[in-house]
Amino acid sequence: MKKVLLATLLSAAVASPVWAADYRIDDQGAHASINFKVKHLGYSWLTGRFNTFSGNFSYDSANVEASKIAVDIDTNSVDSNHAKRDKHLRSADFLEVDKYPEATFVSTEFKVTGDGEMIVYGDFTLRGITKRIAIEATKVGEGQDPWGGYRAGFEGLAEIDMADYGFATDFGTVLLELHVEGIRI
Amino acid sequence: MTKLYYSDARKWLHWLSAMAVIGLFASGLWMVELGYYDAWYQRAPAWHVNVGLLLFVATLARLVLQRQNPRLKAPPFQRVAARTAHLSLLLCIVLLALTGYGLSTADGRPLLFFGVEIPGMGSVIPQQESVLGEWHELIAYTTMVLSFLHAAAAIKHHVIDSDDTLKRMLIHRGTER
Repeated sequence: MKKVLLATLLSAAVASPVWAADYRIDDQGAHASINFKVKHLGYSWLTGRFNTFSGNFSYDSANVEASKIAVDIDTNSVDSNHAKRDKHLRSADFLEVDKYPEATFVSTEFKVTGDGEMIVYGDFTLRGITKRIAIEATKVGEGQDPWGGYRAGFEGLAEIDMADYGFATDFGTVLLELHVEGIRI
Repeated sequence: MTKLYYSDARKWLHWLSAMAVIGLFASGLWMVELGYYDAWYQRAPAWHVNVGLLLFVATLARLVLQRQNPRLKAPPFQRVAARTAHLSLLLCIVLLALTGYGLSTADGRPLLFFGVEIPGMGSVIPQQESVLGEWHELIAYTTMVLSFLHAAAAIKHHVIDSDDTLKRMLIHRGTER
């Protein structure tokens, strides 16, 4: 028993980078948001958001390349501030939430492009279709919070094409505006 | 004293309601399939709401007037069956109006009745617009099944039993007896 425990601890120590810290996205305090915008008739931007999601990331400012992030989004929680439109967005014309209640993003690579700037590559699954996307991300800040915790926050921008994800209605490119604040666990 | 016939006003209410029910069902089936760029995409639901609210008011009146129904000359089973069908139909229409209202105004925006704002309901249950949308559809189909049975029974009375069940609902007929 002791040996197993020791082996587990050792392998855990070897597998994880020395300073990398794990964070839980602060969805409880709603210090994170997944927003989207898409052109309406080509005349203006329609914005909306997903209200329910959860995720974790690990991040170390000294070794950004080793970072990881995974997020689960409840597609039912789509909110464009208009009930009948939300109903339409949940239908088979768009998100088809009965069949695909979840969208996920799992990072595969963090590429540093500058001080606090990075491109996060990863697999984005929507409507059951997985595609590799790139998120241009910037660290906003990190440090102690007033309540004894430690937080790190980022913003990110990504683009997806509705046609790539088999939407029955195609409004072209959707821009994703992401804000993530994690609490160290 | 028990009445033997329906008043002309109630006959009109009945036939206009019948037209509204069929029209609303057909328009509902049609409008949910409309593409976003269709010219009717905004107009059709607006008219569906206008007519639906008129039907709602008419149905409330008809529910109140049920007490004044003429007595049916029929065996007990038929009387109970007819009564149940009538009340179920009226109840379905009321439920259709309520679910329609709840799904249309889940975000608290007012409902427009011929341009007049009726205060919105807001959201009481999660994803209210989607949940009530499914109920609205289900109750609409139930209403059509009940309507079909109701019409089939009336025609059966007219053709097979050769009685005046159908005739006494016809306008300018039956009141002359």
